[in-house]
Amino acid sequence: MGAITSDPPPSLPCVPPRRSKRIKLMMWKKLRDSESIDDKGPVASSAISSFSDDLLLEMFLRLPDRPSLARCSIVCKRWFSLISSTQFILSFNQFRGNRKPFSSITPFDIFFNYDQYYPNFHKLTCSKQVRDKSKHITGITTSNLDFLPYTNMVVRASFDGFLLVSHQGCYYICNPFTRQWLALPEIPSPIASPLDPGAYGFLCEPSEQVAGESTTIIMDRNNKDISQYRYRVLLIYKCEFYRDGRVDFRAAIFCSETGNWLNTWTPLLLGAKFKRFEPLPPDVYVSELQDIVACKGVLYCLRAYTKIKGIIAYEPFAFDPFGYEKRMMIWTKCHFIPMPLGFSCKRRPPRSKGRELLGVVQGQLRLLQLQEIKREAYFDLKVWELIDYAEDTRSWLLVHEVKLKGADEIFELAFHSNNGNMIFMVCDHKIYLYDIEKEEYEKICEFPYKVHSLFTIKGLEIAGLPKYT
Amino acid sequence: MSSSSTTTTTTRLLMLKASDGVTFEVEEAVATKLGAINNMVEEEGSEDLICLPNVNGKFLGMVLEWCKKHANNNTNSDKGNDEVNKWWDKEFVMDLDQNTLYHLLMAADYLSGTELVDLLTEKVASMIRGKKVEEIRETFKIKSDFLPGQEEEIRKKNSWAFE
Repeated sequence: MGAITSDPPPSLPCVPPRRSKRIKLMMWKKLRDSESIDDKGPVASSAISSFSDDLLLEMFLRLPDRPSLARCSIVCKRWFSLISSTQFILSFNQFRGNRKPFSSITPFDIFFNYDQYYPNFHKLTCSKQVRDKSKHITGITTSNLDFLPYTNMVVRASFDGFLLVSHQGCYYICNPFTRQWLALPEIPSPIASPLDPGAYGFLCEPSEQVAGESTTIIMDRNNKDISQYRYRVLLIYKCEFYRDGRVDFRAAIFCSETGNWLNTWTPLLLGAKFKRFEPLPPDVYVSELQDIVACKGVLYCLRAYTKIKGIIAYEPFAFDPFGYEKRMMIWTKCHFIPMPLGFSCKRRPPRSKGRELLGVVQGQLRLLQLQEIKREAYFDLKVWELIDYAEDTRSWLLVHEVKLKGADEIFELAFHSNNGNMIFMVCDHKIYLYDIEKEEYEKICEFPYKVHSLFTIKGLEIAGLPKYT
Repeated sequence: MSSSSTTTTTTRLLMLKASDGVTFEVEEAVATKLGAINNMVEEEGSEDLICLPNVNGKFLGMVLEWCKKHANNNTNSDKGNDEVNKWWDKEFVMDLDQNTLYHLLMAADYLSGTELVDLLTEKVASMIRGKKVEEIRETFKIKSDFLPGQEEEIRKKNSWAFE
């Protein structure tokens, strides 16, 4: 650094008329008053109030958690209005998402299968940001499930590169790319239901505890063995609502720590207010449950086609499985999250195209609805993000509402797990990446056969589930 | 004046003049760590005197000290330097009193020193961690301007955050 002088050197007068062109005077654009940044004067009494809005927002972005944010929102009116803005809440989520080590933009895998009943798996590894059109896919790995003990295995759920597959009431966890697998114990008869489960959930969580007797090794995509996780497999047998807010929710849950299956049920959905609704037809069963998506240790089940539209949030890690081994029955918390305003709850007319989708983007749960507007020849695309201030304070935020043109046949959709403006689309045998804001399609790859489902994997997040459509 | 000016012929020097007349002579590579200065240099490149009538010499000096550290360490980029920079940054913000911190942050923001703004906002945010609403107000010398009842209403809505 140069020397500091208290007077300008005589050779460089501050504002010489001759050289005025060459002297730049920076005007104070952000400060509201004309105070200079000085440690004396009126500013000093409450310097933070002379921060520009931008600067305050930058600071709020860096708060450690939502409770801190909520406390800041009642400090004064100005802070309240800044923190409550939709734009800020979105930025806050994304900023936090970006700080997680696994959420960097690249690389990521697109992971999809050909057909649920004859599974072929393809993993596209993208090492560069997809926006960079030059060369983003560095490898395609293909696999199938022929290493498993039975040939007609059905894929039920997936998490972080692991798959949950089943064969006649027996469940297996495998990694199709390392071709490793383990069999879960049989479901004991008091727990097993004569009905097939209507929905399947599967999620893992890193754990210090080493899983019991299992000596089988299955590596995940980060070469971490499954014994370094604790995991849950949820089989939902029944999920029926009643007028008074009660629900008949019955499921079997497998806990890796004990290696046992438990019955799980809940008589009440927290946050559900059904009294306004009409009585339910008796045939509303679990078959109406759509995708189950895992996000931050919670399983979210979408119910889009019943009279009561909403999402059931189930917390499979909210209890300690030890101590329930004798009773084989456990009561667990379930929350009900109503659909956002603007979500069309009408049953789609037959042959009309559309899709509801749950997924995870930058660690936040997102809901998408695609509706065909036949007369106008476009799709109506809406995307909401769940703002989970706390477990019982949740609300939806509309992130996108656009007309989707130029796609007449969309078979499958998946969220891009770390870019909220992008969605993957499968049309026939081509996979596209669609930029919602720019309305641009970019073809990623093409296959010799029709692709039925698509899910993207990034770190611990997964968007979309393999599903037969 | 700056000793490094003689080492290479290509090093350009800029004069930065603070509100109180204090003048700094810095290498271009250092000053252009600040987005605002960089823009001006790119706009009309010539050896200039840049007047910054809104930044006090004390804070301009500190901003430039940070710039110099980071400009130097950027030239030979290996991973060890990252660590050194982080450690240096930590020391840099550790002993700042609140008043200096705010003014430094405003100066950095004004001069578009993005990385320095990141560092300092992180510091301000860390002062909020774990504090109750009243303590936040006290820390930042802010008076509540909510109408009676308004604050209660918001608290009620977000009661989970205040337990």
